[in-house]
Amino acid sequence: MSAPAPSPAVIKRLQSELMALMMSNPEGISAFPQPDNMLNWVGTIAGAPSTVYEGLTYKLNLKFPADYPFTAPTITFGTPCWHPNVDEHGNICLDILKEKWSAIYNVQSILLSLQTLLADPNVASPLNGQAAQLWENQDEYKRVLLKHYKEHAHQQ
Amino acid sequence: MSNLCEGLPDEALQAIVEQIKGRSGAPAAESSIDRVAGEYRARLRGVRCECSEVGGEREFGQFLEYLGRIGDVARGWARDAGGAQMAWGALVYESFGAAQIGLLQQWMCLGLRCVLRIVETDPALVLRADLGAIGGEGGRRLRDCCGCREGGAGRAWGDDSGGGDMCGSEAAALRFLGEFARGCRLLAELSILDYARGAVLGAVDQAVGERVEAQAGRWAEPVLQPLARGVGRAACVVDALLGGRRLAAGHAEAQVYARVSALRERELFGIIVDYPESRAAIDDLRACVGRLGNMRAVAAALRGAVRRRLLHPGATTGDILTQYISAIRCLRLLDPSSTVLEIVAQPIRAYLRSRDNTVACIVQDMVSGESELFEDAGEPGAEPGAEPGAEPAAGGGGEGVVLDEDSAQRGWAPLPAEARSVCRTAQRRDADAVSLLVSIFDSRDVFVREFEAHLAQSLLRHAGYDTARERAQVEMMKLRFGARALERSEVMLKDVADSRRIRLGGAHQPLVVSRQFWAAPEPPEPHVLLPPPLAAMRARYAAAYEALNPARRLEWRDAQALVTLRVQLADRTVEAEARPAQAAALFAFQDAPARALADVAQALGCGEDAALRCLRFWQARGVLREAGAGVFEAVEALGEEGAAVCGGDDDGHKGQQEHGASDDDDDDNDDEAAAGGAGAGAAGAARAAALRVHFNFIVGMLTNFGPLALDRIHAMLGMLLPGEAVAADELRDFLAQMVREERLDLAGGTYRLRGRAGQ
Repeated sequence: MSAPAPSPAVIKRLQSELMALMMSNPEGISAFPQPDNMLNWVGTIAGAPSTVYEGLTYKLNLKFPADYPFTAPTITFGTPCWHPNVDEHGNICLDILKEKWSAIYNVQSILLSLQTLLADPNVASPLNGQAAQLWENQDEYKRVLLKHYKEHAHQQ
Repeated sequence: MSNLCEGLPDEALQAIVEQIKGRSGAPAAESSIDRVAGEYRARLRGVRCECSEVGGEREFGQFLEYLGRIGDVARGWARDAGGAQMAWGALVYESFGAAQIGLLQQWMCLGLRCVLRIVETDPALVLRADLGAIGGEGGRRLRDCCGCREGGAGRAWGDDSGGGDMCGSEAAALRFLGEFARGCRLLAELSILDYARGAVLGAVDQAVGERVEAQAGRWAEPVLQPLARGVGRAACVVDALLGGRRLAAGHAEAQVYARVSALRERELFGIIVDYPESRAAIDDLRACVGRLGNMRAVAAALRGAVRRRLLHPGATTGDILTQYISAIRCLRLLDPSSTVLEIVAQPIRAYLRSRDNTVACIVQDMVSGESELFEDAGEPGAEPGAEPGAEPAAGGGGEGVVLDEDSAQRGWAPLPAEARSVCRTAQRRDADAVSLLVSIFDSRDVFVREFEAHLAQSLLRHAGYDTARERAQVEMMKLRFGARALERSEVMLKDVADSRRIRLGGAHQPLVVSRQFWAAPEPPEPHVLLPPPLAAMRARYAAAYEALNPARRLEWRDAQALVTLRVQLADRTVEAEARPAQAAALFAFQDAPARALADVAQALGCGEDAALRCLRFWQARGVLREAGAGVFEAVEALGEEGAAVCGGDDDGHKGQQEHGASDDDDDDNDDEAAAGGAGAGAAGAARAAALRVHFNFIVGMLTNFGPLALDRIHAMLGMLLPGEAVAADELRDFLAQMVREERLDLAGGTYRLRGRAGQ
């Protein structure tokens, strides 16, 4: 890797996570390191079937700290995401990425958690108040969501 | 003030007084003196030194001339206003400001530096120089202190340690001494010294400070005594030249002690690191502390340095222990009462207690025989006086046992030999370094347990029954902790000895150990079914053992056993040491060239994960390879395709470990392995398997980055799967096949995932 050298242990851990992720190839989630920097990955999650996010695909940016996995990676949505727990800059409010982070999590479990978060938001602590309010009304929610997705997702 | 007129006979003096009085009568004389004083005040102001600071030979001479001109003025005053010496003092005082005092200090300091160099080179030279008349007490002291060459001879004049060229040779030194003497005489005559004392003492401070600082980092040789002697002589010379009063002498010596003490106190941490090479520095510091009584300040400074430099996460536990031991030895030298040691050790001990590998490090040090600790460890009960730190008492100051802080300050001194044993009883914790380390923890059991684990590991690790080294370690530990504490260790050694005796022939080299006494951790190892030949061998051994020891039952510890295998393949023989489970896994290939993972797992009677680990072991050694998903085959030939055959065989050996319900034993095994032949085309299959891995990566990158060109894909694969490089041509063929299989689309030179047109 030509990138600024993080410790070999971190690289090794990320390589083995990548290998595990590639080989298990779970449905609807994926991630891959940037060609020039093992610490920066691009992720992709698809909304789970039979949820309002079904059929929508979101890109994520994953930045791993030099002391990963002892510190959580920084994850943001690359594709604008209209969701109660995601703000307009793509920042995500999810406890396991913050205070509940543990070294036992890995890329795959994080992505699965995010996929779950899409369909199961925590409306009690919203970053997007409008989305949180609309959540009760799933039909209206879906209409606004699709409009938002059409407007923004194609920029990507 | 009698100086000016000292040379004059009394009659002459009287005559001058008469002359002044007679010239103008009493009242007139008053006004006449005022007038003369005004004139001389102006003349004194007119006398200026040509230099603004004194730093070298030229300025040294200029200042001397300046003093000479003031002397001329003084002589004129004595002539014109004879007898009114007090008034002269006032005149000089008025005109001699801070600038002149500063110059005087610099001049004095320069002179002191030279004198110091001269007395360190050849003290007797001082007596040969033309110093003018020095009589009385000063002269006698001068002869006493410079009369012998002790400590001076041996240095060459060329060795420039101060003073520049002013005393670079014997002739120059003699010339300098003459000049310096003249200057000092003038100072004395001019009554300047009465209020320029501070300048002289300041010069002493400065010269001593320079010399002491030059010794920073030089810990191998004593510094204090040579410096004190040299400085003492130089001060004596200056005092004699200044007219015989004791001005510089007492001050100079105190300065040497204070400066050396401050220097070594600052450097103490480094000195301890260097110990015992720095022994001389410790001796110096001890002498200083003995004089100054600043032991507690030294202790506090060292404690601060220890916290700052040692007790942080960057220092390894081994380093901390080493430094702690050095500190114990140094501080015992420094302070037999152990006051300092207590103060400094407390944070170190608290810190060591908080590190979880401290016990292991200490035990490791104790048994490794390489550490300095070991020297002590063998002689724990050594009598008090025999400990390495005990130095010959330098001049015993007989305070007796020093236990409280006050007395440590008041009368710090090495304890006399008689007091030593008393002292030691009172501080038995200081008996030796190892005891101190052990006492960091409340319980000694932790050390014994740690040692047992270490012993068990070392007995299990190497094959064979030779325990001489371990025996020595146990004996040593017994000396320290008592035979009772080491009972379990004794049982372990005895088990090894017994195992050797009951060796029943065959390829087994079992180690039968008693489960209740062995401290070895039992790694959770899945139990595997051994192949029939091996199992039969074991059964025979067990039957024989149980026949010999009716009340005992053997339980095999496969995780500790080692099997030595020789694997014959078509074109080579591989020798390896493996765990029984790994050997058994390989044995599964005895009859079949390729086996599915599930089959192997079934044969071993364990889960697929465990079986896969065993197979990976052989894969890493080139004996097996993964032919496809979940299928392994023997690598019969290293060339392209193998055909082949193999026989397995082996022989085994050595295993070990533990247990049974109440006793036990164990053993070992052996085994064999063999492998069957593989068919042609295996290489092609393996390649296809590797490319399947690549395809997963390709899907990953296309999913996340969108469509990519062939060279990008090739570059990223090369980076992320460096062990399995694929040529660009091969990759293109493979991707073309994927396109044919409708898994990828190729459009405009870039590949994309099928059905993801939007990406």
